[in-house]
Amino acid sequence: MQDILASALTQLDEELTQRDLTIEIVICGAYALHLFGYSRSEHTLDVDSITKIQSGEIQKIIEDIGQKLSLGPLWLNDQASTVSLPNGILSRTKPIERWKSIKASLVSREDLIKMKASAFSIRRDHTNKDWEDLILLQPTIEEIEQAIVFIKESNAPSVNSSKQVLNEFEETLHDLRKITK
Amino acid sequence: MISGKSQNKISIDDFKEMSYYFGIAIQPSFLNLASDRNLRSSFVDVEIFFLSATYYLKESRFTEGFICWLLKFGHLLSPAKIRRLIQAGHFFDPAVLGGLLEFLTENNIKSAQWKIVIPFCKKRKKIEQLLEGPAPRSPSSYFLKYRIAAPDFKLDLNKFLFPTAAIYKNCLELKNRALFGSIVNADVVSYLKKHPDSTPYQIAKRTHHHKARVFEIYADVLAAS
Repeated sequence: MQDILASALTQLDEELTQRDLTIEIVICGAYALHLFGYSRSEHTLDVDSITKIQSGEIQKIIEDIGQKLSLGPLWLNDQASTVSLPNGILSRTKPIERWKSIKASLVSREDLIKMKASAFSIRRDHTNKDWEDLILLQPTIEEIEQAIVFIKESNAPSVNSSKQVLNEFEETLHDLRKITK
Repeated sequence: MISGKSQNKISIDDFKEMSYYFGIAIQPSFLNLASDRNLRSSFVDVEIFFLSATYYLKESRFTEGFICWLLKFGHLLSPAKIRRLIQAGHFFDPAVLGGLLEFLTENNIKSAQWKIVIPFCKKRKKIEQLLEGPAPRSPSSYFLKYRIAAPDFKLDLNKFLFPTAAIYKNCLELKNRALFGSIVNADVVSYLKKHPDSTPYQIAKRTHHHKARVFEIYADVLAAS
C-alpha cells in the first residue's frame, strides 16, 4: 500500500541525517491505529505526536517536506502534546525501529484506547471519528473501565456543574461501556 | 429512501478514491499507486462524485472531509447537471442530498441556483442518524432539516483537504472548472485532454452534457487549438 506519511517520514529522516539532527516523536491518534495494523483504519494525512517539536530548524524541514509532498505544514504535529495524557504513558511506548534520526515510538494500545475515549468524551458533538476508532480497536471491558477511570481523573466536570452537564457526562461513560457489548 | 437505478451506483472504493483525487486528505486503506494513477488518467465526473456522496457518507472522517470539500469547491458544481443526472436515473439519497444542499445554501454557495434540485430532496420519515454510534446531542442544522442527525462538524479545512494549489495541480477537472467561466467548456476540455481522440458524441455521453452544446464547444476547441 502506498503510505504517503511513511514516505514523508523517510524523507524527514534522510534530511535530518544529512544535517546531523535528531527528533523524538511518540505517535498517537489515527495514524497510530494504522501502524498497529488495523487494515480498515482510514486516517487524515497527519502524524500526531505527544512530544513537543522544539527546534525551529526541524520545524522548517517538516514544513518544507509538507510543501513538497502537498501535505501541508502540519503533517507532523505536536498538537496532542497539550491534551491530558495517561500517567506513565512514555514508559509504555513501543519503539519503531525504522529510521535513523527519527527516534519514533508508538503509544501502547491501552493508552491509545484511553486517549481515544477521552477525545470522544470531549468532542462527541463535533465528530464521530473517535467512536469509530474505538470500534476498530475493539477494547475489552477492562480496557474501557481503565479508560473511564482516566476520563474521570482528567475530564470530569466539577461537582458544581449544572445537572445537564453532569448527566451528559454520565451518558458519555454509559455510551463508552456500550462499545464492549 | 434511495432514488435512481442501482446500476448507476458507483462502488464505495471508487467513491473513496475519487474523494482522494478531488482533494480530500484521507488515505483510503486500500489505495495503491497503480489505481491512483488510473484515476488521474481518465475523466472523473465532479457531479457523479457529488451524487455518490449522498449514499456513501457513513463514516465520520469522510463526511467531514466531504463537507469541507463542499465549503471550498461547492461553487464549482453545476446544479443543472446534477438535476440532469437525477432525471436520467442516477442513484442518490434524497434526504442526504437535501442536507448537503441546505449546507451549501446556509453558506451562501450558489444559494439561488439549488432551487432546481431541491424538488428532488425528501425528508426522512423520522429522525435517523447519518453515522453509526451514539446520537449527537447538538446535531448540525443543515442535516436536521431533512430529519438526519449528524455531528456539528468543526470543518477544519487544513486537516481534511490537501492544500488548494496542490488540488488544482493534481486534478484537471477542478482546475479547468476554476479557470473556465463555463462548466461545459471546462468538462469538454478536461475530457479531451485525457482522451484526445474522442468524438463529440463520446464526450457528451461521458460528461453528461447536452449533445448540441458539446458539439458547439468541440468545434470551438478544435478551431482554437
